Amino acid sequence: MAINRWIQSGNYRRSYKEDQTIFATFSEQASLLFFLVILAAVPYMPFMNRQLFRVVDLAFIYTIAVMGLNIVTGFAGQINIGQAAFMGVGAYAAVTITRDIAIPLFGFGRTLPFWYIFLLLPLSGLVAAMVGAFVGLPSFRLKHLYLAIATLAFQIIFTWTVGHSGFLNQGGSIKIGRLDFFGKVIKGSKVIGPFYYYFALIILIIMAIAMRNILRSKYGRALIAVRDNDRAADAMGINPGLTKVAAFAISGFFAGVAGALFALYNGSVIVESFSLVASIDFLAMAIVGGLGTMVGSIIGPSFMLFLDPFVERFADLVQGIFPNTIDVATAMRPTIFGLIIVLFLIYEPRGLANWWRLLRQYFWRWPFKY
Amino acid sequence: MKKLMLLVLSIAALSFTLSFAQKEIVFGWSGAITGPTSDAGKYVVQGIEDYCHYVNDENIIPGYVLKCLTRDDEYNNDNTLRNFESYLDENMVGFIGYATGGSLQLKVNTVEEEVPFLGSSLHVGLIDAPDNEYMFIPITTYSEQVLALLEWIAQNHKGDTAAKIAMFVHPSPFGRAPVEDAKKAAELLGIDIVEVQEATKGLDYTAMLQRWDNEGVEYMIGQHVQSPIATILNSAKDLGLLGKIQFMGAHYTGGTSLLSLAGDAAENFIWATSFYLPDEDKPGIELQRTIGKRYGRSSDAIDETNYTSGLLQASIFAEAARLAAIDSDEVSKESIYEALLSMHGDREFDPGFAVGPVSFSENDHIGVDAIRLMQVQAGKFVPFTEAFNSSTFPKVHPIQ
Repeated sequence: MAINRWIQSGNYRRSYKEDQTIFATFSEQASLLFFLVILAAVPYMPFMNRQLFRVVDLAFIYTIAVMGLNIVTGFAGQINIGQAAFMGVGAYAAVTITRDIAIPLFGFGRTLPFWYIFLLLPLSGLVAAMVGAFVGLPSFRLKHLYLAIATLAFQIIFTWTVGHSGFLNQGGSIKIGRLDFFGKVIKGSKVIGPFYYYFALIILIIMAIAMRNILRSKYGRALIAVRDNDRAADAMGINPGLTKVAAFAISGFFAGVAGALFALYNGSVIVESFSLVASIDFLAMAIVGGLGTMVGSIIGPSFMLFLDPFVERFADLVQGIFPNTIDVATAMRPTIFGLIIVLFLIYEPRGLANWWRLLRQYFWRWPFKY
Repeated sequence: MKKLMLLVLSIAALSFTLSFAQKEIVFGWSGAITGPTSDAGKYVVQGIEDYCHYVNDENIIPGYVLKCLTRDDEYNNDNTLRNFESYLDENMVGFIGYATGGSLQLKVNTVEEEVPFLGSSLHVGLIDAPDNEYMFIPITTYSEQVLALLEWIAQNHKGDTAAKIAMFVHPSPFGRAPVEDAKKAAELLGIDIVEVQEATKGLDYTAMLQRWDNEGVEYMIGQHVQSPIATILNSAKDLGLLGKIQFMGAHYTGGTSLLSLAGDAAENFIWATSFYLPDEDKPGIELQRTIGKRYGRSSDAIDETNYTSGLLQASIFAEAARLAAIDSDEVSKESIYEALLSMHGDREFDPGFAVGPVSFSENDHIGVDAIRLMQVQAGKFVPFTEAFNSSTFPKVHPIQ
């Protein structure tokens, strides 16, 4: 008897073909659709102000970068401490391609036509992917902490190079034009917030589908095999070196797309947005969300970005009550964020994604206890 | 019936009172109260908050009350942008920024939102085109300060060969801001910038100083904050280089922290700034002491140039609001912007915190145009020049 795909409470996949499906049950598909409908309705909610739009928009953009990081670190097992630099490569590629190639070539004025974004995002992603592949070359010979240091070196080289390049305004602000969406210029926070909410969400969905498809393919399983045991993977006919380099390239592509979106969203690019601290933040988002899971890439950035204003208000409160404790207030943000990462590493190394899994299973099996 | 009459009368009285209630003028500030550079930011924000209270308590803008929103951004650009946008929801008519990076990134937003911007960053790029229409700088830029020091070197250097100068800058847009202008000015002045050293995270500058000594460097110009300059001075003292190299710096290199951190190694350090010193006998500084004491600030805060800076920034916007209230029926971001542009000629504003009056116009977005040089003598900064303008700055950096 066929399993009822609306009410099944476990994994009943019986064939390789079934195992390849994205959704195990119809209820999964329905709940995702329901979730997307809710997301689409959020901008119309009365509580959505400019500040919240900024937090959510950035969460969407950072999620794309963290998905890339999760591919290389979570699935391929290669530590990457330079994801913000890859994002920076994408952002700087977007502004320089626009400034030095697209504007002279197409004769754009102060605004950029909407169709151009569909050229710009993949191009920026490709530039970052090439840089990613190059930075990933040491993974042929290096592993673990040694490779982490190589990515750290890239982060520092990126910051230094941009800071010393007149072509890139020595890291100072470089402007990129606003989008012209069928005659309406997307400028001003009142318009930018809701527009990029939907636009970044659509790009995020496309990238999530791409990630999901990569992971369920032969190549995705190769990534996991290399992570778990690269010698065994080699014995099975997988080229571990090439797999790792490709993981870096794909990760770079995701970061590049996120960087280009980030540049378009802000209307300008500045090197300080792609610092080492930002790279560590991305790593923290991936860890807290859950390394090696796609859901974790989505939950992690949102959790960290929504937590930030609360920590900020709490630090303000502490400082207001105890005005002489400025050092305590200063230490509060790094302490709280550091503590969260440590606690997750100790008590929930699978991250928030595991809580999400447990929650889903609870409803699957309800009314039976988990 | 009586109760109904009473209710109607109460409502009428309330409406009457509300119609005459003071209107709010909202300014927003975002800066580092915690995190990097909070040692400066915490005093800037105190100056801004105190001046706003002072304006309200003294009823300087009749019929209006200033509401100054201040929020910590932890020196993070994303947070600065987030605060800026959240203030827009609260009808902000003017924004006061802090960090250079965040301020540069806000240029586009100020034009799109048509909100006048003023801030602690003195990066000349803020008022360079494009998107410079709404950007204002309270005092001379870093470029002008460094150029003023270079001009002093060119005039006072004794020796047969051109003066050899090393620059020590913060590794960021803030640090690099004056470098290109300084190189061009050095060429004009016939002096030689032999090295531009970006600061590392090191706590010891012995190797750098020894290298400079070997290269025959005679002057060092810093574009950084006070603590690393103090470290350099202490290292120079240990190496016996204090008499050999003349140490100098732009606005954020000097102040009370430098004196306390470097001690007697700070002796003879030369500082370029447009602010009066907190121990000078000037009307603006007297007002600073009065305001600081009235609002319960510590003596450390009252003696801080960053506190003076906060007072100046708030006072410029308060004056613009006062002018806007006179000129138009409504104080809005548009009328504040117009008031700022009209702040010249007989509308020049001199709150007394800096060595010259604040003046802005369509073509001039720098408030106080004059600089003084000060030198540490017997543990105190002492001015040794009158207020002057850099003569090379307009030549090397014409503002468009």
